[in-house]
Amino acid sequence: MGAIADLSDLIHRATGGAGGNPQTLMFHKTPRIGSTTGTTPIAGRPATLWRYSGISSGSGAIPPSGPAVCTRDTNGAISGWDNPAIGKELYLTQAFCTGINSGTLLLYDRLLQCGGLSGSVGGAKTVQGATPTVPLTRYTDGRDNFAFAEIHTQIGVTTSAILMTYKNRFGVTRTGPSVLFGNTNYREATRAIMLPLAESDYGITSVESVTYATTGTAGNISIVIGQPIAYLGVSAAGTPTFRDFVSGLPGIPKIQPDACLSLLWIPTIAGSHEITGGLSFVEA
Amino acid sequence: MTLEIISYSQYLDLLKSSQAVTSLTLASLTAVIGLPMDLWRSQRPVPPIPPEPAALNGESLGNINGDWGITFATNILGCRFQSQGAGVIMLCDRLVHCAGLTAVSGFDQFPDMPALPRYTSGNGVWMGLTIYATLGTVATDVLITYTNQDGISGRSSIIRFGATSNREVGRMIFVPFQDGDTGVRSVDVVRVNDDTTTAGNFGVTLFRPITTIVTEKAGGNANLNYVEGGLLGLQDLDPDACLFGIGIFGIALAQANGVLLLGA
Repeated sequence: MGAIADLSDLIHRATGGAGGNPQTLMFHKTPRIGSTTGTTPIAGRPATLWRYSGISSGSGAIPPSGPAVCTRDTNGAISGWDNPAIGKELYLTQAFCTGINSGTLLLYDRLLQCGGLSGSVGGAKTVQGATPTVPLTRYTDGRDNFAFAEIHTQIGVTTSAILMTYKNRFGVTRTGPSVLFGNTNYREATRAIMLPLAESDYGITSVESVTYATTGTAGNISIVIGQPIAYLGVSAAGTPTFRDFVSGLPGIPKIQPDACLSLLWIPTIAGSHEITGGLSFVEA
Repeated sequence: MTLEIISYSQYLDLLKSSQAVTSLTLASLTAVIGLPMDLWRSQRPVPPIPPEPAALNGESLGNINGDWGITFATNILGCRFQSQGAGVIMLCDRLVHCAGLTAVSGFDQFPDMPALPRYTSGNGVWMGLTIYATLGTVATDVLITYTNQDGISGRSSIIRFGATSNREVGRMIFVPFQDGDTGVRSVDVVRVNDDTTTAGNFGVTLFRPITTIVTEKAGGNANLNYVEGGLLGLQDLDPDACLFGIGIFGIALAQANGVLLLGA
């Protein structure tokens, strides 16, 4: 595996030297899912952009039942970039984004999804199970992996709570604290409800199950495991942010081969999003 | 390394919105805040609304790089940039475009555009609908049928235009891809589902994003480059490129100008 030696090496690679294979990838997300206007995001609360139409992601499908690994070939992933050559690694050196409304964009690698959960059936719901038959294929050590409940079709108005039982970085089964689930602000289509970890944990290797009481309406829910890559803020409408990972924290993130690059949006105001951004990569 | 500097400027000036376009007065656009604007006609010399479908190159009237005299591939190394407002200019290679489509149709319209002159597979090529004359106030769906980067025809996408923010002169409405596609080779059919109440004039533009100039704050002269930020990548520039900008601005009245530094 390679590393970027120094700034000169980086610039050399960024112009195509040393097999740097520089790539710049623009992306765009509309506020629509196919021919339908998407649900207006809720101020301050994460929304998934998985199913929104876009360039060059298309529109992700509602995940089917059962756990499945997501890759760059999964519909909904930002595509149009090359995997690194064998023996090399891909680095994200820069990113920008702007949009019609303010908020924060989270670029993440969507590792695994498990769909088909109902909001009207209470109790524990198996995700990967105690002994996963569909394990993670990237970030398998679990470090910094996070999980969220992704609502595709609105669930009910009965206030419930959801918690997650998972294996932490060391393979120990833990149960996180519960968070609100169902009713206003916790039921709408495209809401992403983050599932907290137990105290002192900082990663997930698998999600065994989630547990909640009925919300009164089935809706359609998935559980997603992801790895955060970059946060990009839009401070005001049309005001972009530029992240230079060469001179700014958190350093230069690696992009795993076959990564399923995906987006979460945390709006400042309740308003439809329309987001344009770009990523710059080199190999080493 | 050989260096050459080219200058360009982009103007979006509300105060001149009623002025005629002359050799000294730039075309006027009202920027829709936070949404893409095609800056093709907001630069000097002002190109006409496309009279017919055309493939574009470095000699096409309207490109930023007109008369630059470079016949070899270069990299965009840096940019000195000043803007009245925060915003982004996506620098793109304009490949083919057309105008003359109507927003009152309800029937199929065929852009009949020439083949891509560069990036001929279509991989990484985007499609946008450029509005040249204001559309109506009623929003409607538009179905676009296209051929993707693998030459597969019959691919489709739906966008919505008409009504505020999606009808104004200069708005470019990006057309998303069908699942699995990474680019566009040609746009074959455009169908406006319902009448927006005003025919307007819009066209299809196929372009390849090259890099972006990003300024997070208004005013000042910013030196943007790969190391210090603000300029995405160190992108190759085809010597035949027809360079133009797509602006996404934080204010409606924006004037931006700058200098690109190229090297090879």
